[in-house]
Amino acid sequence: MSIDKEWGNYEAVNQILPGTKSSLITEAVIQLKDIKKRYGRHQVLNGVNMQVNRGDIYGLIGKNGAGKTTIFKMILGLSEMNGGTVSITGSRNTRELLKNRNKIGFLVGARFYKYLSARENLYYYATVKGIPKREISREIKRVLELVELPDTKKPFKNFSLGMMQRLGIANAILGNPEILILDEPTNGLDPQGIADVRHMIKRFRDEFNMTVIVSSHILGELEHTADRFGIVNEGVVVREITQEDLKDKHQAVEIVIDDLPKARELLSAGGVQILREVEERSSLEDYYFNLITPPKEEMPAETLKKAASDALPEEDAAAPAEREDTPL
Amino acid sequence: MRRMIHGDLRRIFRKPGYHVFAAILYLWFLFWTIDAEPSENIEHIHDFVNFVGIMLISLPVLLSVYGDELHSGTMQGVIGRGLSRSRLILGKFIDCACLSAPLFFGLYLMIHFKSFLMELVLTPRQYEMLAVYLALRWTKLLIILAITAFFILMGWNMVVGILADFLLIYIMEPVLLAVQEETHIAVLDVSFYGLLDRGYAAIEAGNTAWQLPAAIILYICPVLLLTAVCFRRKELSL
Repeated sequence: MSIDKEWGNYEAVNQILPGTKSSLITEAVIQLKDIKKRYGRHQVLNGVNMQVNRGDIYGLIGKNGAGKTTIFKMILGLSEMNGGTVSITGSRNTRELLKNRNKIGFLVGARFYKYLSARENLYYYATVKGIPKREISREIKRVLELVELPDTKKPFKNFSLGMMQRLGIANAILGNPEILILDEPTNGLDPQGIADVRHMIKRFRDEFNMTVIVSSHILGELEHTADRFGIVNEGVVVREITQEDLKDKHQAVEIVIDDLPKARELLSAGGVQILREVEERSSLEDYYFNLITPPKEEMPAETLKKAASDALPEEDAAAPAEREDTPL
Repeated sequence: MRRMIHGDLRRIFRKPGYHVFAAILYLWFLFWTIDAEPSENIEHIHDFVNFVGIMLISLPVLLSVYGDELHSGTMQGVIGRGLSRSRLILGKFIDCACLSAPLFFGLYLMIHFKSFLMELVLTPRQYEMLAVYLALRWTKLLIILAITAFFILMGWNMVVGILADFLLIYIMEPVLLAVQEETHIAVLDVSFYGLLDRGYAAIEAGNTAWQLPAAIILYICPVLLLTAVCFRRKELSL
């Protein structure tokens, strides 16, 4: 019997055991099969396969330009695919896909009218989303409280970056969507803001039963939040791993280098996959790299250390720190 | 689509810019000279609508319906929520119609107001024909806005749109007229300018204005269809 037909039972299970549904039944809410996208001659997505299950917090990790945002554009229908299929909550055709997109709430940049206040902007999206008029005001109050954004008359153009991001999240959760897509939600936030967003993401899943897909180019931002990770590199989800896999099987190091192209070349030659490439420098010379590699059995620790050491500046001869020693 | 139109109209009517343009339009009309020869009054009003009115109505509509979208990226927010692109285009066109109609209606009321202020004597038939004229100019504006929207959405650029708007309002008609006179090919007559003018003449003469539905079918529908087809492939940023 398919999950769709079992929907009633599925909900019942969820009510008895909240927060445990993903371990009981695996239902794909988003499925991407062999998605391809090309811009001119540049192949951006090379056959992405990805599955997000109900109740997941799915972290999409990859460096800038890896294809994370393009994957979101495909899911949201903002870009035409050159091949492959997208399915949202089991949609089987375009009509169902369009209809099911209304189950998604998303934060992708600050998409708001500059001259309207937070409340007025949310009112617009609530109307578009089809929230009944009599409930809109209450719903806006609820989401603003959830993201701790004051209900001021200040127009959006006068918002701080943090306020913009909070409003974006408030908009994404408007109407309690089944699926939440957050594209780099901590961009530009201060440490407290980042901690708040992480807390919110967990809360949305645990309290409101949302399935969350969140992207970041920084693994450390998501490693304690997401329970599954899709590692994107050069337009392909090269690996899907769970948080347990990350802890048990994979290796990660953080190193400081001074010659970015050379480091890339050396690490690549050593078979090390770069997952985090922090662009801000700690000084004029240094770049921070966080790396995650294939499982230990595929790449011995010595090989990893050698490749990482080769990429270190000569004067910094110390071995790269193991992940456990380095808070990402 | 209905929900998007409702949301759009609600936010645009709250936008000061729309009302500022409306105020300029009506003030300008109040000071527009129409007190020459009584027989020329109607012509002066027509001139105002053609040279000032259409532009002052098209600008706030374009800026509010499309400019805000391009500037803020909210269109992606609506598409991402499952509205198909063709419905979005149709919805935006209906937005344009809903926003421009009250401005034309306001202009009609201003004609009454100004007549009252200046003690101009217009016959009921003249008022009736002014209403018809404004309705046909509204149709003309809708065709212009549909064409302009194509350029805005394809170029993702408001400057291109305003330029197209300007060309269609002020330049295209005289150019077609010149071509028609030069070549004796009825390019102006078959254009929407010609069809609507002939439609007005037909109504004035008490005949059926078949030109009006012809203009809509020949110009609005294909342009919207073309926009929908081309926009389906348009890459939208996040």
